[in-house]
Amino acid sequence: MTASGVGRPYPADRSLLGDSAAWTLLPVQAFHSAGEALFALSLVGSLFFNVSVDAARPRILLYLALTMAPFAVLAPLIGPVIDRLRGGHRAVLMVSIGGRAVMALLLASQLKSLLLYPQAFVIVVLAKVYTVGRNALIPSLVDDRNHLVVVNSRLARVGATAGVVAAGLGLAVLQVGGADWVLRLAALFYGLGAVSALAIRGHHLGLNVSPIVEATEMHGPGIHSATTGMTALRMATGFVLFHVGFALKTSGEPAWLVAGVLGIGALGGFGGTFVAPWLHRWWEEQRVLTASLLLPAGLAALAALRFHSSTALALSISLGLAGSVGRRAFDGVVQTEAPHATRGRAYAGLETRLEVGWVLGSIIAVLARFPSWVGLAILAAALGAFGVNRVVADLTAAQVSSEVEVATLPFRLLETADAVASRGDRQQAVLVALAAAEAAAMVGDVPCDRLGRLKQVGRQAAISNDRAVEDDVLRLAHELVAESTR
Amino acid sequence: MLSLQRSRLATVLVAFGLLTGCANGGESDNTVRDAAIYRAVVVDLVDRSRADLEPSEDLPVLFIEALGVDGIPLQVQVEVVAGFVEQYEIRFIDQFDEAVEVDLPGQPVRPQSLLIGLGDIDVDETAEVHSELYLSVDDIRGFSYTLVGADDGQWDVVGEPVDIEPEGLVP
Repeated sequence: MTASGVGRPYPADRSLLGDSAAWTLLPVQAFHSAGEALFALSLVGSLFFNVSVDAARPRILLYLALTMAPFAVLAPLIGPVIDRLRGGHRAVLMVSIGGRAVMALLLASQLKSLLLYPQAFVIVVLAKVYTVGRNALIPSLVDDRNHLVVVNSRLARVGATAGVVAAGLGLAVLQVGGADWVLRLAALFYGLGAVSALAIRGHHLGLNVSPIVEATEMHGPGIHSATTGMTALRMATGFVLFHVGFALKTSGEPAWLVAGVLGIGALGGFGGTFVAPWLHRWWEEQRVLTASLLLPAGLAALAALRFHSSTALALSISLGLAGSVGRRAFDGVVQTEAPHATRGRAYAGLETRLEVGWVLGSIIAVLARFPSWVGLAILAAALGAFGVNRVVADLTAAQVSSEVEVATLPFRLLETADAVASRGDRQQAVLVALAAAEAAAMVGDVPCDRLGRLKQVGRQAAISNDRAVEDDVLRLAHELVAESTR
Repeated sequence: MLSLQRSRLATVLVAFGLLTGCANGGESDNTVRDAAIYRAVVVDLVDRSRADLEPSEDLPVLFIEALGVDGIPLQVQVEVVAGFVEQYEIRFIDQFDEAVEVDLPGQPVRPQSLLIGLGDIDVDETAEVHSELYLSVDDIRGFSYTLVGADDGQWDVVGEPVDIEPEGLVP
């Protein structure tokens, strides 16, 4: 569980522009979200709604599978670019939004051709690149890491507002000029977003963190649990987009309704930025994340029992809301439990996993061809199982935590020393092992000469950097801690 | 590390190559021919339907269901859609419910629309196509068309189609 206490308020969400360099991201996010809304709206007039789902399925599957490929390079490439290159973060955002502007312009004349599929999926890939790049960048833009959650929330609100305004504008353009002009408008907003990205001035946190510390933080149980929960939510979002989209289409609903049901999730996301702080007054982050899994599970069960556009609408809103609330909780967990790892490289790894989850959820929906109620029942069961599993783990952890005595501290420190040693940082492992021996002396009966001998060998290990001596320290520490409990 | 990144980059380049390579994949002469045959059949079926497809703000919708064992390939569907883009909204469907108000008495087709069934094409010097027209559960008709190719790549219906017993669109 997180170290944060229940009721600890998120830092005040001051003015819209805030006090950090993150404000430069606001116009980029606004233009990006406006473009997103218009791109989604333009698909109403596209080939997606003309051809049969079964005939299009192999092609959609192919492009979804290909969507996975770029993510294979995202984690190792984008993170280091953001971390090391001056202006690299800006380049990632500019390329991803600028690329979408170009693709939207090309797509405007191809809405009724087979080129729709590759171009639309390139736009989707670039959107994912943008999301990964942006979220990896944010930690380097905030003055205080405690503002990470607030900045993310602020960006979500600005993005949702811009999306709603753009969707209204797009509807008018759709009536007057058609879907192709909606895409051209999207290209304009994407272009403005790319230009706005020029203003981003990231300042690095100046952290000189050991990769071992970073890796240890990122592999902690709290981060692992939160990432798994958030990945499940992203998988559910991808699954619902295609499963519900196909189900509504094959039940004869008009294209505008299908797009509306799928697009209204953004409204839920907007609401989530207000609901999350309220929930946080009562529950800590991990519990909020659990609730974020259980809410859409319940609505998916409802939609499975009676599939209708209204229940699909409720499911879409709940997933948007849960995604937003869950995201805030996830950021909170990362912020609390991995304070040294919230840099580009580490964050890009997490973001990549989330986006791969979205793609996998989409692939399952397209590949499995479940009847609508079956797919929704499976979704409800999967999200429910994730949620219940977290509740059980939460209860178990609370029980174990109450049983842990101070006497176990030396053993826990030894485990940490072994883990650090197995990851290659033997010098750090030696120091932790020495701390374990000191702790054993405090809580148990340890002969002074044995402890003195261990410290002496520890000093030799620090000076000589000799692996054999380091191993000696670890072995002696184990023996000493074991003897202290007899 | 560098070679790993290069290989990953190569994977992405290959993927995008596939993306663009597959974009127009399979648009062969047969695709164009089959789409032309289906278009000619659809035009004739709409004329025979006596349906009241009044021009309004929205284009009338022609729902098309594949009746043959092979289905209608995606490329052919795209060509058919493109051929009617100014007159009709073509929607190829997978399920009967998509086109029909199944909860209403008589299960009529949705307003301002027609449901057409198109079978596989049997082509030699002429083309034979089985087709069906659905307006309601009491108004389903089946036709067997014969078509011949013209010099301009279009196909024309020969004579009157033969009435046959509908099967594919019968609920």
